[in-house]
Amino acid sequence: MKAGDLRNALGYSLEWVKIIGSFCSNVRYNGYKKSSQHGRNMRNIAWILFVLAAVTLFPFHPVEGGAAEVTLIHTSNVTGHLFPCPS
Amino acid sequence: MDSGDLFFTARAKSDPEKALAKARLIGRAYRRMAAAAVNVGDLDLLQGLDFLRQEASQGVPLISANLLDPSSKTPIFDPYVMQQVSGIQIAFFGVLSPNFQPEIADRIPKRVGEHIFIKDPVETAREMVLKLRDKVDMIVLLSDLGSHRDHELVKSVPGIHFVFGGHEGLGLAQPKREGKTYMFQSYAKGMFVGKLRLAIKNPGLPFQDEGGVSRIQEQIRNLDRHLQALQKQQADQPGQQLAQRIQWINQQKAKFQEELRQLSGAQSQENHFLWTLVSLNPSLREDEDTKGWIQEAGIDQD
Repeated sequence: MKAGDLRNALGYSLEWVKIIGSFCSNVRYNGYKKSSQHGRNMRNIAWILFVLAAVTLFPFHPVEGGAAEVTLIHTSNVTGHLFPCPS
Repeated sequence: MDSGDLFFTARAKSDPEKALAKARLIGRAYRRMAAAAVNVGDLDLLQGLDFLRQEASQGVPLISANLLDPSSKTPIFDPYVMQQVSGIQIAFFGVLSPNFQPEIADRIPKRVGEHIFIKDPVETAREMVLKLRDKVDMIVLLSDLGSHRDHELVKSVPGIHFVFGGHEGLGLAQPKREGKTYMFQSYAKGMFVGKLRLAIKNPGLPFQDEGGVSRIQEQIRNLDRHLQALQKQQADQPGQQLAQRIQWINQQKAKFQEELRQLSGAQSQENHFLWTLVSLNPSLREDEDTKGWIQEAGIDQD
Protein backbone atom coordinates (compact mmCIF):
# COMPACT_ATOMS: atom_id res chain seq x y z
CA MET A 1 0.00 0.00 0.00
CA LYS A 2 1.40 3.42 -0.92
CA ALA A 3 1.11 6.49 1.28
CA GLY A 4 -1.66 7.93 -0.93
CA ASP A 5 -3.63 4.72 -0.45
CA LEU A 6 -2.88 4.99 3.24
CA ARG A 7 -4.50 8.40 3.49
CA ASN A 8 -7.59 7.09 1.63
CA ALA A 9 -7.74 4.08 3.94
CA LEU A 10 -7.48 6.37 6.93
CA GLY A 11 -10.38 8.51 5.72
CA TYR A 12 -12.39 5.37 5.01
CA SER A 13 -11.57 3.99 8.45
CA LEU A 14 -12.70 7.19 10.11
CA GLU A 15 -16.05 6.94 8.35
CA TRP A 16 -16.52 3.39 9.61
CA VAL A 17 -15.59 4.27 13.15
CA LYS A 18 -18.09 7.15 13.04
CA ILE A 19 -20.83 4.81 11.78
CA ILE A 20 -20.13 2.15 14.41
CA GLY A 21 -19.75 4.79 17.11
CA SER A 22 -23.09 6.25 16.16
CA PHE A 23 -24.63 2.76 16.28
CA CYS A 24 -23.22 2.31 19.78
CA SER A 25 -24.78 5.58 20.91
CA ASN A 26 -28.14 4.62 19.43
CA VAL A 27 -28.06 1.26 21.14
CA ARG A 28 -27.20 3.01 24.34
CA TYR A 29 -29.91 5.58 24.32
CA ASN A 30 -32.74 4.31 22.10
CA GLY A 31 -34.80 1.22 21.65
CA TYR A 32 -33.66 -0.84 24.62
CA LYS A 33 -34.21 -0.44 28.27
CA LYS A 34 -30.87 0.03 29.96
CA SER A 35 -31.80 -2.53 32.58
CA SER A 36 -32.91 -5.33 30.20
CA GLN A 37 -30.52 -8.25 29.53
CA HIS A 38 -31.07 -7.92 25.76
CA GLY A 39 -30.22 -4.23 25.88
CA ARG A 40 -27.01 -4.89 27.82
CA ASN A 41 -25.98 -7.63 25.35
CA MET A 42 -26.55 -5.36 22.38
CA ARG A 43 -24.59 -2.55 23.99
CA ASN A 44 -21.71 -4.90 24.76
CA ILE A 45 -21.66 -6.23 21.19
CA ALA A 46 -21.75 -2.71 19.81
CA TRP A 47 -18.84 -1.58 21.98
CA ILE A 48 -16.81 -4.68 21.11
CA LEU A 49 -17.42 -3.87 17.44
CA PHE A 50 -16.35 -0.28 18.06
CA VAL A 51 -13.11 -1.28 19.79
CA LEU A 52 -12.33 -3.91 17.13
CA ALA A 53 -12.91 -1.35 14.38
CA ALA A 54 -10.68 1.19 16.12
CA VAL A 55 -7.90 -1.35 16.58
CA THR A 56 -8.01 -3.03 13.18
CA LEU A 57 -8.66 0.03 11.06
CA PHE A 58 -5.75 2.00 12.55
CA PRO A 59 -2.72 -0.22 12.07
CA PHE A 60 -0.51 2.74 11.27
CA HIS A 61 1.82 4.59 13.59
CA PRO A 62 0.87 8.14 14.43
CA VAL A 63 3.35 10.57 12.90
CA GLU A 64 4.85 13.66 14.42
CA GLY A 65 4.09 16.99 12.77
CA GLY A 66 2.40 15.29 9.82
CA ALA A 67 5.59 13.47 8.76
CA ALA A 68 6.17 9.74 8.88
CA GLU A 69 9.48 8.90 10.53
CA VAL A 70 11.62 6.06 9.21
CA THR A 71 15.13 5.12 10.33
CA LEU A 72 17.36 2.96 8.14
CA ILE A 73 20.52 1.41 9.57
CA HIS A 74 23.20 0.41 7.08
CA THR A 75 26.27 -1.78 7.22
CA SER A 76 28.65 -2.68 4.42
CA ASN A 77 31.84 -4.67 3.87
CA VAL A 78 31.65 -6.34 7.27
CA THR A 79 33.80 -9.05 5.60
CA GLY A 80 33.39 -11.65 8.30
CA HIS A 81 34.33 -9.41 11.23
CA LEU A 82 32.65 -10.41 14.49
CA PHE A 83 34.56 -7.82 16.47
CA PRO A 84 34.42 -4.26 15.15
CA CYS A 85 37.76 -2.80 14.12
CA PRO A 86 38.63 0.33 16.12
CA SER A 87 37.36 3.37 14.23
CA MET B 1 20.23 -3.70 5.97
CA ASP B 2 23.57 -4.60 4.47
CA SER B 3 24.85 -3.75 1.01
CA GLY B 4 27.08 -6.80 0.57
CA ASP B 5 30.40 -8.50 1.39
CA LEU B 6 29.00 -9.36 4.79
CA PHE B 7 30.24 -12.87 5.42
CA PHE B 8 33.77 -13.40 4.14
CA THR B 9 37.08 -11.62 3.79
CA ALA B 10 39.19 -11.50 0.65
CA ARG B 11 42.21 -12.74 2.61
CA ALA B 12 43.25 -16.00 0.97
CA LYS B 13 44.96 -17.31 4.13
CA SER B 14 41.85 -17.35 6.31
CA ASP B 15 40.94 -20.76 7.75
CA PRO B 16 37.82 -21.90 5.82
CA GLU B 17 36.28 -23.72 8.82
CA LYS B 18 36.67 -20.71 11.10
CA ALA B 19 35.45 -18.40 8.31
CA LEU B 20 32.28 -20.49 7.92
CA ALA B 21 31.69 -20.60 11.69
CA LYS B 22 32.03 -16.82 11.87
CA ALA B 23 29.81 -16.33 8.83
CA ARG B 24 27.08 -18.45 10.43
CA LEU B 25 27.29 -16.33 13.60
CA ILE B 26 27.01 -13.17 11.51
CA GLY B 27 23.94 -14.59 9.76
CA ARG B 28 22.43 -15.40 13.16
CA ALA B 29 23.16 -11.92 14.47
CA TYR B 30 21.55 -10.27 11.42
CA ARG B 31 18.47 -12.46 11.90
CA ARG B 32 18.37 -11.40 15.54
CA MET B 33 18.58 -7.75 14.48
CA ALA B 34 15.66 -8.45 12.09
CA ALA B 35 17.60 -7.09 9.13
CA ALA B 36 15.24 -6.02 6.35
CA ALA B 37 17.56 -6.93 3.47
CA VAL B 38 21.09 -8.25 2.93
CA ASN B 39 22.53 -7.83 -0.55
CA VAL B 40 24.84 -10.48 -1.95
CA GLY B 41 28.31 -9.05 -2.65
CA ASP B 42 31.08 -10.75 -4.60
CA LEU B 43 32.97 -11.74 -1.42
CA ASP B 44 29.84 -13.51 -0.18
CA LEU B 45 30.25 -15.99 -3.04
CA LEU B 46 33.64 -17.17 -1.75
CA GLN B 47 32.28 -20.21 0.07
CA GLY B 48 29.84 -21.16 -2.69
CA LEU B 49 26.09 -20.85 -3.12
CA ASP B 50 25.16 -23.64 -0.71
CA PHE B 51 26.19 -21.58 2.31
CA LEU B 52 24.14 -18.60 1.10
CA ARG B 53 21.13 -20.76 0.27
CA GLN B 54 21.29 -22.25 3.75
CA GLU B 55 21.41 -18.79 5.35
CA ALA B 56 18.46 -17.64 3.21
CA SER B 57 16.46 -20.73 4.18
CA GLN B 58 17.14 -19.95 7.86
CA GLY B 59 15.74 -16.45 7.49
CA VAL B 60 18.58 -14.13 6.44
CA PRO B 61 16.81 -11.87 3.92
CA LEU B 62 19.37 -12.28 1.12
CA ILE B 63 18.56 -10.38 -2.05
CA SER B 64 20.12 -9.91 -5.46
CA ALA B 65 18.37 -8.79 -8.60
CA ASN B 66 21.23 -9.55 -10.98
CA LEU B 67 22.67 -12.79 -9.61
CA LEU B 68 20.93 -15.27 -11.88
CA ASP B 69 20.74 -18.96 -12.51
CA PRO B 70 22.56 -19.33 -15.86
CA SER B 71 20.10 -21.81 -17.36
CA SER B 72 16.78 -20.25 -16.33
CA LYS B 73 18.08 -16.64 -16.14
CA THR B 74 15.98 -16.20 -13.01
CA PRO B 75 17.30 -14.68 -9.75
CA ILE B 76 18.88 -17.19 -7.35
CA PHE B 77 17.69 -15.15 -4.34
CA ASP B 78 14.77 -12.76 -4.00
CA PRO B 79 15.50 -9.80 -6.29
CA TYR B 80 13.89 -7.40 -3.81
CA VAL B 81 11.99 -7.20 -0.54
CA MET B 82 9.26 -4.80 0.47
CA GLN B 83 8.78 -3.45 3.99
CA GLN B 84 6.13 -1.14 5.37
CA VAL B 85 7.51 1.26 7.97
CA SER B 86 5.35 3.95 9.59
CA GLY B 87 2.88 3.58 6.73
CA ILE B 88 5.58 4.06 4.07
CA GLN B 89 6.05 1.17 1.68
CA ILE B 90 9.76 0.67 0.89
CA ALA B 91 11.32 -1.66 -1.68
CA PHE B 92 14.94 -2.76 -1.27
CA PHE B 93 16.65 -4.33 -4.25
CA GLY B 94 20.28 -5.35 -4.64
CA VAL B 95 22.93 -5.65 -7.32
CA LEU B 96 26.53 -6.78 -7.47
CA SER B 97 29.27 -6.15 -9.98
CA PRO B 98 30.06 -8.62 -12.77
CA ASN B 99 33.73 -7.64 -12.31
CA PHE B 100 35.03 -9.25 -9.14
CA GLN B 101 37.64 -7.66 -6.89
CA PRO B 102 41.14 -8.51 -8.22
CA GLU B 103 42.17 -10.50 -5.08
CA ILE B 104 39.31 -12.94 -5.55
CA ALA B 105 38.75 -12.83 -9.30
CA ASP B 106 40.28 -16.29 -9.78
CA ARG B 107 38.72 -17.85 -6.65
CA ILE B 108 35.06 -17.11 -7.30
CA PRO B 109 34.80 -18.88 -10.65
CA LYS B 110 36.25 -22.00 -8.98
CA ARG B 111 33.48 -21.97 -6.38
CA VAL B 112 30.46 -20.83 -8.34
CA GLY B 113 31.66 -20.29 -11.91
CA GLU B 114 29.17 -22.30 -13.91
CA HIS B 115 26.35 -21.88 -11.38
CA ILE B 116 25.85 -18.14 -11.69
CA PHE B 117 25.25 -15.48 -14.31
CA ILE B 118 25.61 -11.82 -13.33
CA LYS B 119 23.38 -9.58 -15.39
CA ASP B 120 24.27 -5.99 -16.24
CA PRO B 121 23.50 -3.96 -13.08
CA VAL B 122 22.24 -0.88 -14.95
CA GLU B 123 19.80 -2.88 -17.05
CA THR B 124 18.69 -4.75 -13.93
CA ALA B 125 18.18 -1.52 -11.97
CA ARG B 126 16.11 -0.04 -14.81
CA GLU B 127 13.84 -3.10 -14.83
CA MET B 128 13.52 -3.02 -11.04
CA VAL B 129 12.51 0.65 -10.98
CA LEU B 130 9.90 0.04 -13.71
CA LYS B 131 8.52 -2.89 -11.77
CA LEU B 132 8.50 -1.27 -8.32
CA ARG B 133 7.74 2.41 -8.82
CA ASP B 134 3.94 1.99 -8.85
CA LYS B 135 3.95 -0.48 -5.98
CA VAL B 136 5.92 1.41 -3.36
CA ASP B 137 6.59 4.89 -1.99
CA MET B 138 10.36 4.58 -1.90
CA ILE B 139 12.96 2.55 -3.77
CA VAL B 140 16.25 1.76 -2.05
CA LEU B 141 19.20 0.17 -3.84
CA LEU B 142 21.70 -1.91 -1.90
CA SER B 143 24.75 -1.92 -4.11
CA ASP B 144 28.01 -3.84 -4.18
CA LEU B 145 29.24 -2.01 -7.27
CA GLY B 146 31.50 0.64 -5.75
CA SER B 147 30.95 4.38 -5.60
CA HIS B 148 31.94 5.20 -9.19
CA ARG B 149 29.58 2.61 -10.67
CA ASP B 150 26.81 3.64 -8.25
CA HIS B 151 27.09 7.14 -9.62
CA GLU B 152 26.99 5.91 -13.23
CA LEU B 153 23.98 3.73 -12.49
CA VAL B 154 22.03 6.51 -10.82
CA LYS B 155 22.74 8.82 -13.77
CA SER B 156 21.24 6.25 -16.15
CA VAL B 157 18.37 5.11 -13.94
CA PRO B 158 16.27 7.82 -12.30
CA GLY B 159 13.63 6.85 -9.77
CA ILE B 160 15.82 5.38 -7.03
CA HIS B 161 15.48 7.38 -3.81
CA PHE B 162 18.54 6.18 -1.93
CA VAL B 163 21.59 4.07 -2.76
CA PHE B 164 23.46 2.40 0.08
CA GLY B 165 26.74 1.29 -1.39
CA GLY B 166 29.80 -0.65 -0.44
CA HIS B 167 32.39 -2.81 -2.15
CA GLU B 168 35.46 -0.60 -1.53
CA GLY B 169 34.67 -0.09 2.15
CA LEU B 170 34.59 3.69 1.96
CA GLY B 171 32.59 5.99 4.20
CA LEU B 172 30.72 9.17 3.37
CA ALA B 173 30.24 11.71 6.13
CA GLN B 174 27.94 13.56 3.75
CA PRO B 175 25.89 11.93 1.00
CA LYS B 176 26.57 12.31 -2.70
CA ARG B 177 23.71 13.45 -4.86
CA GLU B 178 22.78 12.79 -8.46
CA GLY B 179 19.45 14.24 -9.55
CA LYS B 180 16.94 13.31 -6.85
CA THR B 181 18.95 10.30 -5.67
CA TYR B 182 21.24 10.36 -2.64
CA MET B 183 24.13 7.92 -2.21
CA PHE B 184 25.61 6.77 1.09
CA GLN B 185 28.54 4.60 2.22
CA SER B 186 29.30 3.35 5.75
CA TYR B 187 32.95 2.19 5.82
CA ALA B 188 33.90 -1.45 6.52
CA LYS B 189 34.65 -4.19 9.06
CA GLY B 190 31.96 -3.06 11.49
CA MET B 191 33.76 0.17 12.34
CA PHE B 192 30.63 2.25 11.75
CA VAL B 193 26.98 1.89 10.94
CA GLY B 194 25.26 4.44 8.75
CA LYS B 195 22.06 5.85 10.20
CA LEU B 196 19.55 7.56 7.92
CA ARG B 197 16.63 9.25 9.66
CA LEU B 198 13.80 10.20 7.31
CA ALA B 199 10.88 12.52 7.97
CA ILE B 200 8.44 11.98 5.12
CA LYS B 201 5.55 14.33 4.50
CA ASN B 202 4.84 13.20 0.97
CA PRO B 203 6.98 10.45 -0.57
CA GLY B 204 6.40 11.93 -4.03
CA LEU B 205 8.31 15.11 -3.13
CA PRO B 206 12.11 15.43 -3.19
CA PHE B 207 14.19 14.88 -0.08
CA GLN B 208 16.20 17.62 1.58
CA ASP B 209 19.45 16.94 3.42
CA GLU B 210 19.01 18.24 6.97
CA GLY B 211 22.73 17.80 7.51
CA GLY B 212 23.28 20.29 4.67
CA VAL B 213 22.02 23.09 6.92
CA SER B 214 24.37 22.23 9.77
CA ARG B 215 27.29 21.83 7.37
CA ILE B 216 26.64 25.30 5.90
CA GLN B 217 26.28 26.77 9.39
CA GLU B 218 29.65 25.25 10.26
CA GLN B 219 31.17 26.76 7.08
CA ILE B 220 29.82 30.18 8.06
CA ARG B 221 31.26 29.84 11.57
CA ASN B 222 34.65 28.86 10.09
CA LEU B 223 34.58 31.85 7.74
CA ASP B 224 33.66 34.14 10.65
CA ARG B 225 36.64 32.91 12.65
CA HIS B 226 38.93 33.41 9.67
CA LEU B 227 37.45 36.84 9.02
CA GLN B 228 38.01 37.98 12.62
CA ALA B 229 41.66 36.94 12.44
CA LEU B 230 42.19 38.76 9.12
CA GLN B 231 40.41 41.91 10.33
CA LYS B 232 42.66 41.99 13.39
CA GLN B 233 45.68 41.61 11.14
CA GLN B 234 44.35 44.37 8.85
CA ALA B 235 43.92 46.72 11.82
CA ASP B 236 47.51 46.09 12.94
CA GLN B 237 49.10 46.20 9.49
CA PRO B 238 46.77 47.37 6.68
CA GLY B 239 47.43 46.05 3.17
CA GLN B 240 45.76 45.72 -0.25
CA GLN B 241 46.12 41.93 -0.41
CA LEU B 242 44.59 41.49 3.02
CA ALA B 243 41.66 43.75 2.07
CA GLN B 244 41.01 41.66 -1.05
CA ARG B 245 41.12 38.48 1.01
CA ILE B 246 38.58 39.90 3.50
CA GLN B 247 36.33 40.95 0.63
CA TRP B 248 36.51 37.45 -0.89
CA ILE B 249 35.62 35.80 2.43
CA ASN B 250 32.68 38.16 2.87
CA GLN B 251 31.44 37.16 -0.59
CA GLN B 252 31.76 33.46 0.30
CA LYS B 253 29.91 34.05 3.55
CA ALA B 254 27.09 35.86 1.72
CA LYS B 255 26.84 32.90 -0.70
CA PHE B 256 26.55 30.41 2.14
CA GLN B 257 24.01 32.61 3.93
CA GLU B 258 21.86 32.71 0.80
CA GLU B 259 22.15 28.93 0.40
CA LEU B 260 21.18 28.52 4.05
CA ARG B 261 18.16 30.81 3.61
CA GLN B 262 16.98 28.76 0.63
CA LEU B 263 17.50 25.45 2.42
CA SER B 264 15.69 26.59 5.55
CA GLY B 265 12.71 27.73 3.47
CA ALA B 266 12.54 24.43 1.57
CA GLN B 267 12.78 22.34 4.71
CA SER B 268 9.36 23.31 5.97
CA GLN B 269 7.68 21.99 2.82
CA GLU B 270 9.69 18.94 1.84
CA ASN B 271 10.68 15.56 3.11
CA HIS B 272 14.00 15.63 4.82
CA PHE B 273 16.68 13.30 6.09
CA LEU B 274 19.63 13.28 8.41
CA TRP B 275 22.61 11.01 7.69
CA THR B 276 25.12 10.13 10.39
CA LEU B 277 27.92 7.61 10.68
CA VAL B 278 27.81 6.04 14.12
CA SER B 279 31.08 4.65 15.43
CA LEU B 280 30.74 1.16 16.92
CA ASN B 281 33.25 1.80 19.67
CA PRO B 282 33.78 -0.57 22.60
CA SER B 283 31.84 1.67 24.99
CA LEU B 284 28.56 0.59 23.36
CA ARG B 285 26.69 -2.14 25.22
CA GLU B 286 27.05 -5.61 23.71
CA ASP B 287 24.05 -7.84 23.07
CA GLU B 288 24.55 -10.54 25.71
CA ASP B 289 22.97 -13.36 23.67
CA THR B 290 25.12 -12.65 20.62
CA LYS B 291 28.19 -12.39 22.83
CA GLY B 292 27.26 -15.78 24.30
CA TRP B 293 26.98 -17.39 20.83
CA ILE B 294 30.45 -16.12 19.91
CA GLN B 295 31.92 -17.44 23.17
CA GLU B 296 30.19 -20.82 22.67
CA ALA B 297 31.77 -21.05 19.24
CA GLY B 298 35.16 -20.52 20.90
CA ILE B 299 35.99 -17.44 18.84
CA ASP B 300 37.77 -14.64 20.67
CA GLN B 301 39.23 -12.64 17.80
CA ASP B 302 38.90 -12.09 14.06
